[in-house]
Amino acid sequence: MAGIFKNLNSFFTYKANQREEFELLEGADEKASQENNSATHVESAIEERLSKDIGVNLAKIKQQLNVPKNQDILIREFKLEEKIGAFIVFIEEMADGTTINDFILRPLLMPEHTAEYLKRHKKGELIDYIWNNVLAINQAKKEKEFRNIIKKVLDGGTALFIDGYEECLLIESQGYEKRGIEAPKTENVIRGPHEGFNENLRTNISLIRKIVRNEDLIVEFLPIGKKSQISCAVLYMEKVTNPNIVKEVKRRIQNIDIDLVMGAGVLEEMIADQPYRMLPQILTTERPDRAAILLIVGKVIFMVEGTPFASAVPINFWECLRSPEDYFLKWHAATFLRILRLFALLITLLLPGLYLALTLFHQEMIPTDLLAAIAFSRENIPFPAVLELVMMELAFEFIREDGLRVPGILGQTLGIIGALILGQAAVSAQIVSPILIIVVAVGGIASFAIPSYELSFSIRLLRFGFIFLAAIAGFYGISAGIILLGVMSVSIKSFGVPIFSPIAPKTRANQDVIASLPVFMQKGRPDALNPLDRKKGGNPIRRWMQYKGGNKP
Amino acid sequence: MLRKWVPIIIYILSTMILASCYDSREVDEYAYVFAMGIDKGEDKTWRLTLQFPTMEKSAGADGGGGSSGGGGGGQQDEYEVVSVDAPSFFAAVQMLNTSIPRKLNFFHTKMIAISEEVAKAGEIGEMIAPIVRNRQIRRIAHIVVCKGSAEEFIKENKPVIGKNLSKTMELAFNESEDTGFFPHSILYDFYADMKSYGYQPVVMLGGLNKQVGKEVSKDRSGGNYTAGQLPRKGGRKIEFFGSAVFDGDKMIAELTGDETRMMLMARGEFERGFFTIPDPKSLELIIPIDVHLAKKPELKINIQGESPEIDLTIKLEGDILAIQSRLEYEKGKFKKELENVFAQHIKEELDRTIQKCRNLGVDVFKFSDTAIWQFPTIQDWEDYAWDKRFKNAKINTKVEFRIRRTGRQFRSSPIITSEENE
Amino acid sequence: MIKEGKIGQSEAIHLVTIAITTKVFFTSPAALMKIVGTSGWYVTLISAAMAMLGFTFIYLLLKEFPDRDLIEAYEKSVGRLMGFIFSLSLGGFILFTTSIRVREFAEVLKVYTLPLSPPSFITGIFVITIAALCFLGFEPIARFARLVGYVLIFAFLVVILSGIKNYEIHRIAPLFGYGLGKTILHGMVRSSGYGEVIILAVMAKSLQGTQHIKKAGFLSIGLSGILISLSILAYTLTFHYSVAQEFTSPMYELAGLIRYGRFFQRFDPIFIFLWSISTFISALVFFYTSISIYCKIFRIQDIRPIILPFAVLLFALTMIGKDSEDIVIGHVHIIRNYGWLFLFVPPVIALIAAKIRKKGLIESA
Repeated sequence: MAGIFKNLNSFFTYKANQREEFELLEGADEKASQENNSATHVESAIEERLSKDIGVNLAKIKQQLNVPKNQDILIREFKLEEKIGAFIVFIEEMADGTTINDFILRPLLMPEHTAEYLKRHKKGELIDYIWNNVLAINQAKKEKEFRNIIKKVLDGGTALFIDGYEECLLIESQGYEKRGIEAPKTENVIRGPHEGFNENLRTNISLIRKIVRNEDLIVEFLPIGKKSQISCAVLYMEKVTNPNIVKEVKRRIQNIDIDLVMGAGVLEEMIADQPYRMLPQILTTERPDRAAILLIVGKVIFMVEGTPFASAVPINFWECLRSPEDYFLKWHAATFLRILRLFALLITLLLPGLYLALTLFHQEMIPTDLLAAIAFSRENIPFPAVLELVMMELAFEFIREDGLRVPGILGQTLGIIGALILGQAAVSAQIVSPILIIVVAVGGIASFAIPSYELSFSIRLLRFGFIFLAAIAGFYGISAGIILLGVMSVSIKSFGVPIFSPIAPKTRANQDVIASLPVFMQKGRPDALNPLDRKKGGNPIRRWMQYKGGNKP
Repeated sequence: MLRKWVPIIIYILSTMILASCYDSREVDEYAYVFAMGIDKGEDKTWRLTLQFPTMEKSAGADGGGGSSGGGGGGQQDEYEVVSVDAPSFFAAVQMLNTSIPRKLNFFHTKMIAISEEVAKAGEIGEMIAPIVRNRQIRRIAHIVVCKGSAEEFIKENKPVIGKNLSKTMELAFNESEDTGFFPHSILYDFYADMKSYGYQPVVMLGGLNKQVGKEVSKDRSGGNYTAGQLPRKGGRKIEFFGSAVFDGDKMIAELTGDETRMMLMARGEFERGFFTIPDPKSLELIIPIDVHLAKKPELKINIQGESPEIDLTIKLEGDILAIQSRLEYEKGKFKKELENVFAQHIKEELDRTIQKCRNLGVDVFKFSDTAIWQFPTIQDWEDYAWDKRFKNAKINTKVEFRIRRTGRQFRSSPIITSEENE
Repeated sequence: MIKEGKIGQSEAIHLVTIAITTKVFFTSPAALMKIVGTSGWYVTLISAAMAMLGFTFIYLLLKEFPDRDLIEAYEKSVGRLMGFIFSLSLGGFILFTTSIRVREFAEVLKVYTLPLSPPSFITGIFVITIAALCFLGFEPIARFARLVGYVLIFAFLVVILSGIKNYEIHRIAPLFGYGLGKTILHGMVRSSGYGEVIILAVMAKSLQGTQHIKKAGFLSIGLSGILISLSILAYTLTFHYSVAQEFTSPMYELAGLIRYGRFFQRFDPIFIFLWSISTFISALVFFYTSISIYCKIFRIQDIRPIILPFAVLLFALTMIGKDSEDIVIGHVHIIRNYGWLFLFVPPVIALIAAKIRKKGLIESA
């Protein structure tokens, strides 16, 4: 009772809103990016060649691979013969740990292997000696240029640097997870790769690294949960992604005070901007290729150990209507499909409500012949139209839920048989009219065309709201619902980015919203993300069109 | 956190409290009136006749699992016709609602039939007023003046092909565009034309065919009838032919099918129609021609004098449908001659129609639409009183005709028979 | 200060255009037709031109006080007391306009689709909806306007284009309606039909810069002038002038006459969506603006506690009119004919005062 009074009191008395909202502003990031880049951007003038001084080499490698920010890049420093400085660089997920431990480090750290050599020679050809006599590896080569070294490391190789040498040894140690990768379950495509994430975080990161082979891809690990520390990886592109977003994502993930975070779904709910609103504010995917595209565009991706999904922020609504298939189709097809999905969304949301409004309030709009058909079929039905509709909608939801619950092929059969028999029986028992079955079924079918599972779920729930509004005031009620839902939806922000962003509010570079332009015209990154690098393609992308008959000048 | 929810909770609660579904009605709570007839009733009342589907047969058939046969003769039973004498339209509706278990609904009314008696008495205005104000009756409902009693007319309003009355009516009205024998008159046009300072409304004429089968026609055009006179047998008893001319809300004359075509041509609303003229070379034979307007009629109007002077040029073009005499009308001199003869034929017909209407003092040709451009303000136009001056208007007509196509045959050669000498 | 968020130029244009254009769905076009007859379609263009002139003064005033909104500009230029009077009258006027728009909407809706529902039911849903949405602030309103703006304009053009079968060119004759003088005079008086553009000045801080306000203001007046003129032209072409003045909602009647074959007819109820969504947006933005003005006058930092009292006030205001005649002839007429007194005159006075004050400062210095 006291609680009620307290709440009522709080309702009538004024209390200022204390929560600081995170906003992504145009001006703010310039400063931040300057701060951030002052350190990293010097590297545009890197020296191509290795230095003789191992200290210089180490600093350069660290700078280029963003160590220690990049937490899955490992640098192991050691001494050869207790005096010659050396280190190896490799990426944890891409390289095979056993190879490195047993066949690279162990022989190198055994003094007896090199002792012989050092006694006999000056240290002139130490590298050759190591390769010829020490390492039990099938493939390696000497390299002098930083660029090639980094490329190899990102590919899963291990680089061995030894003090006093202007070259290093690139040792083959590629060994990323190849087992246990299955085709994605919910995001199937016809063209494009059939690889999905699994429950192992390392494997998942290696799947992404396999596609984005760039030293700017940063992987940071944050432990979450007090009682059980589950690791969460945050991935982003240095020099592309807006550092404010990264900071904010990390801030939110680090400041979760709970015993156990089980999976990405829980984490998403914990860090979403407006968890009370129904539209999804975080995009999940189980496809490494899609995650890679999202990364390149300038988003932050986080993955939780034990969840076969990657979650991307910030997103906009239009991305929820995009299926991975779109990337592999021509732009006409992709545009058509996207409009189709938007239409399906509207059908799912509004069709039952519209049917109800039409039959209860606006009979004049139904073509006379159709009206006669509806009236004839409703003649002997005892229920009011609202009840009839809600009953059938619920029955449909039951069938859908059962199809998930009942295992395997039986589930699908149950779905089809259930729908058919229930519909047929209900019609012939004159409990519902056949036209209503069509309405419910079309709405149900359309809901499966929405690619995002979360979005599809929200829309299905909201549909009941529209049924209610249509039942009390017809089209007017539906319009009130549209305005209510619409204004609430546009106020949602996903990590500072308004969810309907390229359209409302309008920002630049929206070549891929509903209508998808040809790939070679999509030059920019979404402006709403305020990326540090706004271009993702050259101008023009298809340079061969300009330089006829030869290579570029 | 609760503070955020309060508005939403208030919203849902209050809409629920407010929700009493005031206007919500199930589809099957209504009886949909498809056609409506207006007669004079006994003792200064109106007799309102309504036709609506009873939803009886089809529901039974559907429930039974779709036995599409439906029992041949039973089709008429699907529609019920009721009549009532009442002092006003709304009184009539209320009176009928007490006896009909469903609420009467006029959303889907396709036809409003007014008996000639009511139309000629000049009382349509009183009847139309409530109908126009009523939100249920659409302004695109068709309006018909029917000869004889509207009650009988509505009773005979039945589908002849299929069971679907609304489709039957729609398609029947659309024939106006194909033949030009009756105008396509909808409630809105009628209402607006009644209030116009210039032209006067014209309404399609409906009637019940006597089903005599033959009646000697006055000439061979095939259009010199009004509704109810067509020499035919079988089919629907209802027919639409010709038009009723109004002066304000009072019907003053009838136009035959041919005259209606002329009127539509002068208005520029003539879509297409088949004309039949006597063959200029052998008069006992005929040539049917499919005619349509080449362009909108050209009008030149001089308002300087006491009464307006109007020059009307109608440009027609057409395709030959048949040549009974098998003469080569497709080319050269003969073609020219045929064109002239046809133009002359139309001009005579047109002049006769214009003369008839001018004598009545009504501009049904919408000449006023062109004249109105010459007046800068509405006051000037209304002061000029076109409808009064039209009676003395001088109207010169000119008809041009061109044959465009000759159908599937490019040339016609005579039929060779053994009795050629005859 | 109040956190009202930031909106861009295109959001502002969509928002103001919707707010202005919505009135063509109600009785005003018929009322205009009654006064000026067939010349309505260019009368509104004259009004738009006049409104642009009025807006120029508002813009100049804001330019005098960069980074301030209209309310602060009033205070700075004509002093605290006069500024208070100006702002309060503006706020009151906008709230009154809101109530009239809601009531007009309810009346028209009641005539055409919900004849049995009491007006309090319709206005009740309306007021509750807009009050609930005001809690979200100004930014989402503008964003939503931008999101549905294209759809609304598309639907509007579809209605106008599909009526093309019913157009008869001679219906716009006589060209000067009831006389040229009357036409021009009414065109000037009815410039308050475009007065909604003042929202931009009140929300000046959200728009980030006077330059944006200028562009958004002129563009939205221009765009809505074209749209309103198009719609008046469309039903002048469809309805004879004597009939057109009789209708409760000419645009709705226009949609009702659209007929293509047996299936595509009687589609006017779908028009309710276009109609009610734009009314919702326009009433929402008016309502928010009036609350915002109130808060700015009394220097209240947060608008949310004010929303509920204002919603009650709005609901009460909508119930003042006795009958639809009272609303249509009385109140709407007052708003259209005398609105410019509240909308366009105070900025001119304030601008003159500001100039004098500035001159005085320079001379004394």
